[in-house]
Amino acid sequence: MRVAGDDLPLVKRSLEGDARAFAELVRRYEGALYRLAWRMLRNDEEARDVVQETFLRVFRALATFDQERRFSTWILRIATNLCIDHCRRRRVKWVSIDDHGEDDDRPPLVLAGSEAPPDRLHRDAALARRLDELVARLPPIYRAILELRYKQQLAYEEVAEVLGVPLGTVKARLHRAHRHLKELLAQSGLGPESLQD
Amino acid sequence: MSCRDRQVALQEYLAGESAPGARREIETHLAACAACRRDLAAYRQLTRALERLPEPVLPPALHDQWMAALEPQLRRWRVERESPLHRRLRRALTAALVSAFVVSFSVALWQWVDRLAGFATRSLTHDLALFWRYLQDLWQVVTLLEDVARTLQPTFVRLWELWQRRTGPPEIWGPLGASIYALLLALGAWLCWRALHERKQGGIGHAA
Repeated sequence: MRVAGDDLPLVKRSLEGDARAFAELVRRYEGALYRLAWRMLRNDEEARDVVQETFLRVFRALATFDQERRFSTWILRIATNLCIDHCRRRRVKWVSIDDHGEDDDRPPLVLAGSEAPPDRLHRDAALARRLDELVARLPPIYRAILELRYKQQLAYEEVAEVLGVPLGTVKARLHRAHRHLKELLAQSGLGPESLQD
Repeated sequence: MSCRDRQVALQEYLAGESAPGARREIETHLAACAACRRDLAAYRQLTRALERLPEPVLPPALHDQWMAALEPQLRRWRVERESPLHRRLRRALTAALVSAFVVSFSVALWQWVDRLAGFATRSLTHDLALFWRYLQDLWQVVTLLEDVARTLQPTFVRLWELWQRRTGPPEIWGPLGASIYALLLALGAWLCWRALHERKQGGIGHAA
């Protein structure tokens, strides 16, 4: 995961009433939570609301946090559950052949890790945008699993902890997400070879 | 196990999450199976593409927005978590600051009104007499307020508890603190006005 540092001292200081420590936790996790919420909801305004609600819930429940566990997975789990509730409330559509995604109230996007020559960058950016559109057509829980695994670089076990499911379920869902994505790529005339580095 | 059943294991292998035994088994199979090698290459390409997916840029102002939303809770949290010693110190400091502020402001206002009205101070004894009279007036008002407070005490206690439950104890610059300061300032101004009025009618100023 791209979130660095040991969170436990900050959690302990927050529990003692140190507002600056909690502000530091907010700063540490706001990016990861916002990206996860945006990936799942595909809506900037809703993603912001979910992140704010996550911090409020974390704050209220901090005293009940089990300090033997990872804070990062705990906070991501709260955010994921809120996103799932949000999706249920607005009766988000699940993937279908005719579904063109809920695209989308999107903030400015940047291509991750782009250090190639300009022509290659242009091609990569176009492909990344296309792939992003296809990912948007997956069910939110698959988007969550792809975000957690590939963008936030969580291990399978951590993903399982965040989603509150057994490790086997994570592997199976990841496999299904890949399969869905390969089908969508094929339907849009893009094979995996088009994604070649 | 068929190649179809190996797909999940292939992804695990690619993610470096396979157990050592399963890893060796996959590597042996990959050496012999071209179809699984192609699948693995396809997974690798897809995985890398997913790692490079565009991501939203977080506007810097959002941090302040989120912190502002958390502020009321943080404030209450600070007060709730404060140790008894800290709480006593904070209250004592607040009381000392308020008293110093009210007294110094009232004296300054007194002097200013005095000079403005053309009654320049004549001596230190004269000023001390004025100040003593001011303290006597203040004491009378405080005594009166104490009587009122004693009568209304049960109601005040209940209101105070309700207020604390809703917002936590007031901070030095909170709305309740500001109201107390405003009331004290109004009281100081009224005392000055009263003293000036008495002087015009031949009160202590002329007597001194």
